[in-house]
Amino acid sequence: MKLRRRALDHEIPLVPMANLTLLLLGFLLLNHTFAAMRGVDLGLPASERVLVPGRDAAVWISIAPTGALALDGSAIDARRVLETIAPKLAAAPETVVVVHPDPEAPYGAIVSLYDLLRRGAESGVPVRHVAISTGRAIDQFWD
Amino acid sequence: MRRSSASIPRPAIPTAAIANLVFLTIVFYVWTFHTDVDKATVSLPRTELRVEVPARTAIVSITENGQLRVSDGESASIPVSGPEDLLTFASGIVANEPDKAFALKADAAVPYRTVDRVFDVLRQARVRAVYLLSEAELASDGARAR
Repeated sequence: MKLRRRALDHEIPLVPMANLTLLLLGFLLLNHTFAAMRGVDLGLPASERVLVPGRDAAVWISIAPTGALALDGSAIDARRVLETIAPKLAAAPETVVVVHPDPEAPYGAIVSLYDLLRRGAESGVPVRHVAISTGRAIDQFWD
Repeated sequence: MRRSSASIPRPAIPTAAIANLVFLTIVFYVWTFHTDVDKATVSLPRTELRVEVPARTAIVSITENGQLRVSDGESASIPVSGPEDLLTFASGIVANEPDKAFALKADAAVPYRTVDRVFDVLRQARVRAVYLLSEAELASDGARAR
């Protein structure tokens, strides 16, 4: 009996590969993070030494549990903070601005104030030292 | 004149070009691939100043109900029961990489008491740099808040 020779297909089958690569692409797309994490940088002290600037050598801004601000004991609106502390910083640029949050103050209010002070230079009020007081005392400084 | 059937091209969709493009796209994704190691859902505070956090930064997350999760920046985050576990975790990381940065991913509504405790633990573990993760505050948001 004469067998009929079947002609071999000369093409590489790309369809299964395309299916697999599309599935892989879908997985990578779903799990990929495009945006890098961003935030505000903060330095922690290396030593155990507790830093407590004197009342006269520092500007104290306290944050109430409601998120309300008080500058040296007087209530103040967030948008007036920089202009209020500007004269003192102009006279003594090394003045430390101490953020003193109430233990129940929302973290968001603290970060917002920290952000505002860090951006002081943009408004012509450069704040060279900001400290956040902690349970131990003042635990953090940056230049 | 009758044309022979052999000269008529077979209908086919050229998949090779698509496969090339898909392959290049996959190479791009594999090259730049990184996932969120911490899936904790928190409402981050909003700031205008936002610096980029280095890749593979260790993460400490605090959810609104005060639950702590930690990640070394490479593996998925795991819950920790309290400051002691956090200190063990952070100390272990700093022992291997003294300059390792930590990112604090805390909910904006978390009371400062909780964050303060985390700062204190990180300081005890000799962590030097901490990034407070935030979302971008649009100028219109800031104006509205004021």
